[in-house]
Amino acid sequence: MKRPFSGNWKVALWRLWHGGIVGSGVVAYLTADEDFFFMHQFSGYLFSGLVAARLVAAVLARGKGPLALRRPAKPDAEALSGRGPLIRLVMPWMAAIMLLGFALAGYSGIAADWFKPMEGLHESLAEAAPWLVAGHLALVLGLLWRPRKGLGALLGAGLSRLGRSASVLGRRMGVALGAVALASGLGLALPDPAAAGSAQDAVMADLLARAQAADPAVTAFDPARGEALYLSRNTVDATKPSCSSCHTPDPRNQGEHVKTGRAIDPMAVSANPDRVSDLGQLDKRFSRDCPAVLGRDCTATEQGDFAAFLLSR
Amino acid sequence: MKLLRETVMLGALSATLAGAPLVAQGEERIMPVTDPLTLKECGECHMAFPPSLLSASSWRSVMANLDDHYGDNASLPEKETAAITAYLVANTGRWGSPGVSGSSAGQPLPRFTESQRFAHEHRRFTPDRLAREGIKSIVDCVACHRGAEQGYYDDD
Repeated sequence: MKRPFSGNWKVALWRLWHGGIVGSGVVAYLTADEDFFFMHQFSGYLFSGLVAARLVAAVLARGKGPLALRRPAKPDAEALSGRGPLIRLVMPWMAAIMLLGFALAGYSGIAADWFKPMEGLHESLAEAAPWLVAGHLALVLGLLWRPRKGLGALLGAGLSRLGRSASVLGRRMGVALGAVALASGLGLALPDPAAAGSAQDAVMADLLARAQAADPAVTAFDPARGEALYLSRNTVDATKPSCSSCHTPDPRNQGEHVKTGRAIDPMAVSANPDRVSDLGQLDKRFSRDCPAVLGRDCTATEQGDFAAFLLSR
Repeated sequence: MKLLRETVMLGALSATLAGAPLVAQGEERIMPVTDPLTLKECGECHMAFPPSLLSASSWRSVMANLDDHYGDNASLPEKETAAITAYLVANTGRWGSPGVSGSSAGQPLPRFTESQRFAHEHRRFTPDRLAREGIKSIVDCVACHRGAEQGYYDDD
């Protein structure tokens, strides 16, 4: 087997180009639907650049040598008479159709990268690419392949080239992911430990007045009873959420909505000075969450105990 | 003939070079919620979803049934409900609701996750896969789209 850079440098260049277009094309096709969009983008731009480079090389070749692209001709009797003339007839057509198809797929991808509505068109055009490649393989194997040349060696060389480009891309992706992870880690903000203020005092006074209106015997709220309420399990349905399902057993922690995954700011006033500062907000949550967790409305005393518990943490 | 061919090739080349600066971000922008009340009330339990994800009739149906909001009680005082409904209905948009069912009485609530476009773009994110990756729900947009609350839904 000939080594890649022996012989005509134009043939070597063509081989390099062919490896590049196969590698970038396969990577672009396989990563089209993947999460690592960067890889699809990178290989797609490389692919489009290689298509453009092939056209430039053809222009520079001025119709001569292995890099020229010949004008497809109509078949005639002579062309169909033997293997050599048949190849000369088929090759220009194949090259023209493939370059056109690849150019449409690649350039529509670039267009979609800059103008999202082009995405549908790009997807449809790119779906033609594997068929072009299949046709290309069938033609080349049918017209040119001579078994003694060793298809295995040829395939092996192609695969190792593909493997190398994939590993380079993989490394670049790893570096990019690492940088992103580092940046998001550094971006974590520190909580602002502002002190609880008079807004909470006003809310607690309102809650106490409400509790005393319902039961004149109430003189103060009990944070311990509030804590017991906070930690109690759902009495309607054990599989349904309790307070701590979303807010964690420690109200100073940031919570997470048990169904949607939405981050929830801490409940404890020490960790989140906005808590217990707005009676309307408290009433809204009591009206939703007490029936959900206890199967009934909370009493005015329970509301006060709960607020006192959040204030005590 | 040769001149024609060269002109066409050079034309294709310059079009490529003009259109292909090498680094670009695949980007999808959906106008985020800007109304403070909507942001606060919807955003308490889930990201405040962009109004353009549902049609006006779907939003009305969602907002008329807050006491059973996909299984949870999300009821609000009448005044707030009306204000948020008005905002959502005034800002429906191009995602619309092809494929979304149930915006009339007696049907289950409409879900933007059923729209053809949403389902297509998220077809690979099966419940199994979300569970494996520790994502509680397909509607936890920011789990994957970090800039979703600002309206950026890059493919990342």
